[in-house]
Amino acid sequence: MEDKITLTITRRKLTEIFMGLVALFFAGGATASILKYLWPATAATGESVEIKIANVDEVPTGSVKKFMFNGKASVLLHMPAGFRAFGSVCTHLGCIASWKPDENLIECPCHLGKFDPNTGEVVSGPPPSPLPAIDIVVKNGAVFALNWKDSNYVKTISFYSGAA
Amino acid sequence: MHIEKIEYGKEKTGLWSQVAFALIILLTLAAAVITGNIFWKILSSDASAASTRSFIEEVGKLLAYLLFDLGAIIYLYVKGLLQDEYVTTLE
Repeated sequence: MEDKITLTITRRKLTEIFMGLVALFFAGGATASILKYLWPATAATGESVEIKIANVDEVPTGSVKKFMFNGKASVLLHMPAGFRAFGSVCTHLGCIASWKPDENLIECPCHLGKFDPNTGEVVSGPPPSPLPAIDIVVKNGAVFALNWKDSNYVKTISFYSGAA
Repeated sequence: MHIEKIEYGKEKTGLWSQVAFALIILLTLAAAVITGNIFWKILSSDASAASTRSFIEEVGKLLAYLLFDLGAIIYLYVKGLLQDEYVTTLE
């Protein structure tokens, strides 16, 4: 009686198996990356997590640095009174507002809404509410973002607003 | 009525075929390492680092290496290992 089992595998089959494993690995990584994008660490929870924005010497007084916070475009400003951070998605229709050093204001290019760089309050134009402030902390020579002052902010704006 | 049936013969043999197979294994391992590197960077970087131009350029370069690597594997697979095809015509 023949009880010997012979397993034959061709080089071609082995190559296909390896390539399949790499493809699975790639698909797994891509899925994890998409999930991380859709559910960032502190999204919509108000949970405090320190995210480094920049070293203090990278942002001298009067300059700004753009960054992403919870998947939303944001801006760090170094004003004479200290550091300020705001979400830069305009509260009017969701365009990205940017720093205008010559006017000392944050301005939305779409409908010229203007915001105070110290408080985020609306100075002029159509925006109905201030830019959302971000709590920050300066330590060890760097600026860290903690959380949105209004913990419901991310829930209240469109999913895609400021995501790019 | 003609019916054509494609049949596959034995795998290619010879030195070139063996070299191609060894290269395919090495390039597949390289593809796995590059893939792991890309997703490790994406998943482990915080938002401020991941939105910088240098980060995006670095990931873009790795993706280009991966694409080149996969192209080389496919070339070697087709040229070095693919079985010969026979077309049989059935009447």
